[in-house]
Amino acid sequence: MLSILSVVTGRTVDWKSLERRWEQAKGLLREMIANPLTATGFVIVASFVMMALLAPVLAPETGGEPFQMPRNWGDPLAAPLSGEGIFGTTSTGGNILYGIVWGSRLSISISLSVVTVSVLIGTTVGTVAGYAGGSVDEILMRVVDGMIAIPAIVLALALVVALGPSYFNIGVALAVMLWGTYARIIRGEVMHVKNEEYVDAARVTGVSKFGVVVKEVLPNAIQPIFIQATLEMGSVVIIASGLAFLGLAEPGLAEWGRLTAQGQPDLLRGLWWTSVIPGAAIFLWAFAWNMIGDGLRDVLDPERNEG
Amino acid sequence: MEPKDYAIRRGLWAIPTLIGVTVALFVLTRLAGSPIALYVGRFTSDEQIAQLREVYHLNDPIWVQYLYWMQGVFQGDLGWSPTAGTSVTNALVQFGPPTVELALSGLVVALIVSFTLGTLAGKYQDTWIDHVSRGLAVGGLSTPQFWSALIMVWIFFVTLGWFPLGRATQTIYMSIPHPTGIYTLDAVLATDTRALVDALRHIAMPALVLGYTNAALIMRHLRGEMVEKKNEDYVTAARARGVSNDMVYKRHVRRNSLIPTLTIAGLSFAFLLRGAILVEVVFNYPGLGQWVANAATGNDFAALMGFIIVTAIATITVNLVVDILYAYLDPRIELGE
Repeated sequence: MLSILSVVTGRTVDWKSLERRWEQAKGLLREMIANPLTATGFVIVASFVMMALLAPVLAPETGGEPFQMPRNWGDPLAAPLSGEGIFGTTSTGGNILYGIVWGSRLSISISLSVVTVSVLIGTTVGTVAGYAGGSVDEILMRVVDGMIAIPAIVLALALVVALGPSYFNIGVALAVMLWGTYARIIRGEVMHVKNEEYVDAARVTGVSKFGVVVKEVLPNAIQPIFIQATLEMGSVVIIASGLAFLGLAEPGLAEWGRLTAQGQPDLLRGLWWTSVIPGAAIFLWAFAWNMIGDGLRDVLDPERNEG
Repeated sequence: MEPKDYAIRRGLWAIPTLIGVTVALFVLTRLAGSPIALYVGRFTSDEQIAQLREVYHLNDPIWVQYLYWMQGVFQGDLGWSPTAGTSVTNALVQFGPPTVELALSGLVVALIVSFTLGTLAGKYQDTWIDHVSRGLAVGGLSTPQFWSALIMVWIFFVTLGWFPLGRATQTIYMSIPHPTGIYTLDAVLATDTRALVDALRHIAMPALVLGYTNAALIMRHLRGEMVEKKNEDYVTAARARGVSNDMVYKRHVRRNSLIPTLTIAGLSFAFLLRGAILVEVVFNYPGLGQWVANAATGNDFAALMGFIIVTAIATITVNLVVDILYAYLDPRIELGE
């Protein structure tokens, strides 16, 4: 796992060490899958990925914008297994299976992009703060403190309203708001690692500051970031779908939180599926990533077994 | 550093943070468009619009507008909230107590559940109790609160009819005085059983939903601390002195594990506020969260800014109190290090 960065940044490709790292990664994976809960997590995520890839096959587009729920006035509020699609239909006759399938594309892309962007920002800020120290550190960390002090969903909410309500802007707001934790984690690690002997050794042999950071410090400090990022893959969708639930995504979007919200009036009349089924998709996605994150932590950091 | 000095230092640091946040939001909201739209109706004439622009300083540069806004904040004037139909300050006073009540109830649920399960899981590590509590914890962290809230509504309100939605039965609520605005407390103060039952029936479901997520957070932490503390020298020493197993756990392992867990409990306060938004919407509970959710879809920036300021102050204060308490409970901690 920790080899990705050094692989990308390494100047010469050293096949031997690449091979060794590949073996290490395979070993880690094998160890993780040995835990049945982690294996379940992998299976769930893999199923969602398959679902997203096969979306046009599983739920053929009905013409028009594919991420908009189809409408079918002939078949509204059909119970699961009774009408079109195994999960029933919404009050506008939309096939809930369609929403789950196309929604998986949205969820996968928002969690991947938000986590990637916030890891990049957080790692950069945290590394600079930790390595530079002094007033740079003080200022950067105060900014992070300020961001962490206010619940991300509250700031994200305001930001989405300011940018204009849309699913894309929910992603932008979350990427802007969620990097603080990464910065704080990596700063701690960098401060710890930067005084190790091998870092001093690299410095003495005349490696540039940037080189020392990228080749010596980061690869040894990045590990906890992977755990946090894995856990965040699930929570991004929980927060994003929460904002969509509040009405900050496009109306009629085939998104899990939006669907849950649209089903709420039906649920109050006892028609549970329009709301409960899309919500279950969010739960499964988050649950799977939590399981994978847990497994990853057990493997990478067996001492800190907090689950 | 003395706790008092530390508190002052941290408190002072919070000020630039808050200013930064408000500046950023102010600029963003102005980028999103002029707030004039809130005041303009179909029949507002161009002259009236010009007048409004003048009254609200909208012709001035943005930093002057910000200073006017700041000036208002210091005078307790946070602007007008169209979604609440009253001033932001009034809305905060009106919606604050229900949310405080909800957050505190959620915290009580969270602490009871997490202390019980966390202690058991730590004590009986790697037994079925540990596994069940781990499952419950991961489940809690993976559950979108609006979803578990909806499931509860479906089961306990729609199907069984055991618990109502909203905050109170209007007639019962009106029958007692409200000195604190916290319904449960007011009912106790008025020694009115009917009102107390009404209050508890209304708050039960939202408090449970909110509390469960937070319990998940605290429980795993407590368990981890206990597992770690089990092998400390002082525990071995206590055992060697012949202290009973139960006492060892209660007096030595758990007590020492509670101190670091406190930090997490403090952090979870932010979680409670965050959850309040969605939970209040689902349970139709008239608090800050529901107001802010309406404000978000209604472009009510004054309300959003007011809520952010209050949330930030509340979170910073809670974290500060937790830090100081931490140093007080564990004298080895050097604040500010």
